[in-house]
Amino acid sequence: MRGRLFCALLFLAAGTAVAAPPSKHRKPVAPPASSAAQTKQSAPQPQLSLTVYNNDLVMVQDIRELDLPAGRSRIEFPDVSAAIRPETVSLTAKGLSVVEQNFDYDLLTPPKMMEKQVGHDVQIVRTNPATGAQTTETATVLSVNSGVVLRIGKRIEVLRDDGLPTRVVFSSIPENLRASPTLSVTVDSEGAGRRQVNLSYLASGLSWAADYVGMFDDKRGSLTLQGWITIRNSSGTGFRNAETELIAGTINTTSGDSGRHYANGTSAAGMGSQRSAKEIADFYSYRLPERVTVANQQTKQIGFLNIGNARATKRYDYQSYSFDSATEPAHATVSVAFNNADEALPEGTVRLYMRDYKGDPKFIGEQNIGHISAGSDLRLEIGEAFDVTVQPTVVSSESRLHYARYEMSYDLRNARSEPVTVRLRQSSLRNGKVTDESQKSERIDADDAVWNVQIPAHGETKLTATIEIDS
Amino acid sequence: VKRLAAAALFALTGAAEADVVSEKPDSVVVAVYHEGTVDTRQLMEGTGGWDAFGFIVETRTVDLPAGPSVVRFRDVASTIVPESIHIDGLPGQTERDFDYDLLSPGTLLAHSVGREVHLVRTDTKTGKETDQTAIVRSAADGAVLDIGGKIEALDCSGTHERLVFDDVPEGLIDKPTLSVRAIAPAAGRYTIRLSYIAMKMNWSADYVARVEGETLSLTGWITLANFSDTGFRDTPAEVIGGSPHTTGSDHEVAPQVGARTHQCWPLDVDWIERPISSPLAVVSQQEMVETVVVAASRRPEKLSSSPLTADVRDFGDYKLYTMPVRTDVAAKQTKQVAFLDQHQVKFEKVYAFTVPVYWPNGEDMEVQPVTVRYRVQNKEADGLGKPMPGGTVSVIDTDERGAPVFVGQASIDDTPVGLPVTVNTGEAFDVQVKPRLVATETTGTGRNKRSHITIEVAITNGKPAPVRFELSQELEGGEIRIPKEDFPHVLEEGVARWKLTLAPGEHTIMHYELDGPDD
Repeated sequence: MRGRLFCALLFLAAGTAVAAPPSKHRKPVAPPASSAAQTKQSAPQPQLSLTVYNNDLVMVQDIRELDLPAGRSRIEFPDVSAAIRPETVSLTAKGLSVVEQNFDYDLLTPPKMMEKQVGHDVQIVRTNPATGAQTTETATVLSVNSGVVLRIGKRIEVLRDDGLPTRVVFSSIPENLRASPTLSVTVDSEGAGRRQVNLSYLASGLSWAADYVGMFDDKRGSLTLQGWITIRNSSGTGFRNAETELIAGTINTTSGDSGRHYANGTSAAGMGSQRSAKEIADFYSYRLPERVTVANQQTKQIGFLNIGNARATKRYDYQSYSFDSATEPAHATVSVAFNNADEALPEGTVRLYMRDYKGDPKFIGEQNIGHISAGSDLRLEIGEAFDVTVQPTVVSSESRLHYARYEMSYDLRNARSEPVTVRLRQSSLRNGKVTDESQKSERIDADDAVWNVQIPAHGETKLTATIEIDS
Repeated sequence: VKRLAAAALFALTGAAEADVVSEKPDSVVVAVYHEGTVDTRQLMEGTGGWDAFGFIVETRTVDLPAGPSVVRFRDVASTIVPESIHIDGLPGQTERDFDYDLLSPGTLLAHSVGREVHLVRTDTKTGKETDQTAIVRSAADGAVLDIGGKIEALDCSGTHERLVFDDVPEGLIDKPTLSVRAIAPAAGRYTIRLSYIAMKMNWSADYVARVEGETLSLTGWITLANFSDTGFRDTPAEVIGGSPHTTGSDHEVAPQVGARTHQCWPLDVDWIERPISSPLAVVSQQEMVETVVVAASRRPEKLSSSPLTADVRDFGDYKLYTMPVRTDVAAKQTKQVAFLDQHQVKFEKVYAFTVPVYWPNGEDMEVQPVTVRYRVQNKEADGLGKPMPGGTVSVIDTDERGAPVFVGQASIDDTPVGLPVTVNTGEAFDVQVKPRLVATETTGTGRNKRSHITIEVAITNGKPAPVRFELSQELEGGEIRIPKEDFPHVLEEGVARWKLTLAPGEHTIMHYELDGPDD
């Protein structure tokens, strides 16, 4: 499976490499003045690898070369994902031991900067409104509580109490205030020199899914299926040239919602063939063959599958779960059945389209599927048939100790201009017998009997059956 | 697979990708879907729902060079579900991106952290501008600028100052944009069809049945609702009748438009002592995300009852209704279009009562009011015979003096040709029933214990006209048998039903016996 996907994705190679650069291409400027001499701003071109899970979780591995002095030093990583889970950070390098790890989210804002200045001096620049002349004074910030109280020489004043333009000039940015939440690690290095540092952490805001678009042709009885890997990035950070592995399966996390919930189970026949060795391990992994660039606020889709003209058939189903009369007819369910031949399908969402009389594609239904291995018979329930209905009626019934009998009648109606066959399934047989029936049933298991009922165009068929249950 | 191999060859040879922009579609078709039946009043109050959406088909023309190119599709619907995109006619599609990192004052500043900008100050006295180079040190909540080593906060001093940027930081775009990598085998003009699901659209159906003597006229209206902020002008609009299954988890991408916020040190000087708020309260970046709530203004735009009605045809197992004229589906608008206009439709008006299986305390019932039931057979011979999407049917009858009276409404499911449409309206007080338990008898013991009861129903027609009456008996899953009755019943809609006609002022009594397990 992994081999196949690998091949299928190979053509993406150059495509991803030349992807539009994310916002990291900036004019190189000097690091902020606040960086202490001992602090290393980490190099901006790391070797990234991502392991993306389908429940809003990504494992980021960031390998970069750093020139470190001997002894203690602090490394800052300002460009880690904004949605990092700091408690999952691990930093390893040869001859390096971690002393302390900090995730600072005290952000550099004007009020914070002023608060940190309490007890220190700032420059006050006033502009004379009449002349435009500027005067500069040195002031000490006394407090920042509902107003800034300053001492200028021997005077105590409140900043901008007169409403006149007054600029405040700071000589530096207070330490520990940053433009974005920043990870910093204090390390103890055995010796000075360049070494490879391996940083890994978990972050949220990145997820992937498989999405399929199938074009169903009712007349020709065929289906064309395209598969796309969808990677969604709302983490606040772009990932550039990342080696990417995708993991399917539910990984338990402690933080709330873990992934997608499936409305319907996969209605695949041949379930036995789906139990491969990898399923026992509870997840599947797919490695994208080439590095991928995912910008922030982007939904990226990479084509990975193209099944052309698979034979596909439409089917009508109705299931009666108990022996009850219905006051109103119910619509039969329409499904499209096909075999995915030699292509495995990672779990995801299948959207089926069909061309209308003008040749325009139109949606006919969608369903979530679990992982489907190659060569499975797959059936997708797409919707309710407007024109095909079934109405069951209990004509008579009796139940005694260890015995029950149900005389059923089913009115099947077809308003279509062609005959249809409905696969009518009666459940709750509980090892009972069909003792009388207007047409032959197939007993698919102990609890269920199935009748394939033909209904003429613009017509109706009445099916009758008597079920006796000894228990 | 062969086509893809060719694609790989182009890619590996490192041919430069051409940038192709498709500004807008040449034409658009909108089809609106919903799963199940939607009530119009709920539709008007809602915002679309997860199982209702539009399906958009855009026809676009692009000029592609031979080899790889990136085609940018601008002006797609804002509520697009990128995963649902299907493109016909664009060769060699390998990868597509939907970008929504949008340019706003907030993102412009945020993407400029660490970059050089210009701080321009204006002297209000002289009008003279001074331009200084500054480096943005932070844009977390108010800009902090580094002006030649001196640190100042933007817009905190009361002076007139503004930031001037040299260019838009890379990656920021004006609108969410779809770009598709494609490889054309030959240069030329390609006509492509871009199809996708767009959320925040819905539709509902309503019927007005107007009794006109012995027949009724039936008018059907489709209400189209577009809660999105993308309008479609002069567009063939369609709705899909029927219930396609949806996963309920499709959704549009919601761009996070970071608002530029200004926070300064306390400027509103407060001379009155107040409790000081904790300086530890850190404003998280998420809280600053601008929440734009646009109140949807809805203009129900009722067209006059026109002879133009929607065209209906089969689409697979659904029904495709095409609006009679090209229409504008404007943003934040609901619109009503007639789709059914049938006259001289035969109908049945019956008075109905259903006897329950369980009698309250085994005692006699009081005189019971009966339900007025209007029933139309959806058959061509009866003047109808049209597929009727599920919706609300309102019945307007006439009173004794012939004045129209709204008598009630009911919800119907998708009704194909051949099935009845039944509307149970309010209660009639001049037709009455009084059911009575005449005799009860039990036989057998334990699990074989059975009860036999005789029921008498007195029916009175207080109207000066003959009425048709339907008396129904619930049968509890068919376990109850009717060994004796005045005249035979029919088994219909899961109940035993006796149908009779009562002359004006007639009072009749009918009897039947029930036999069933006693429990």
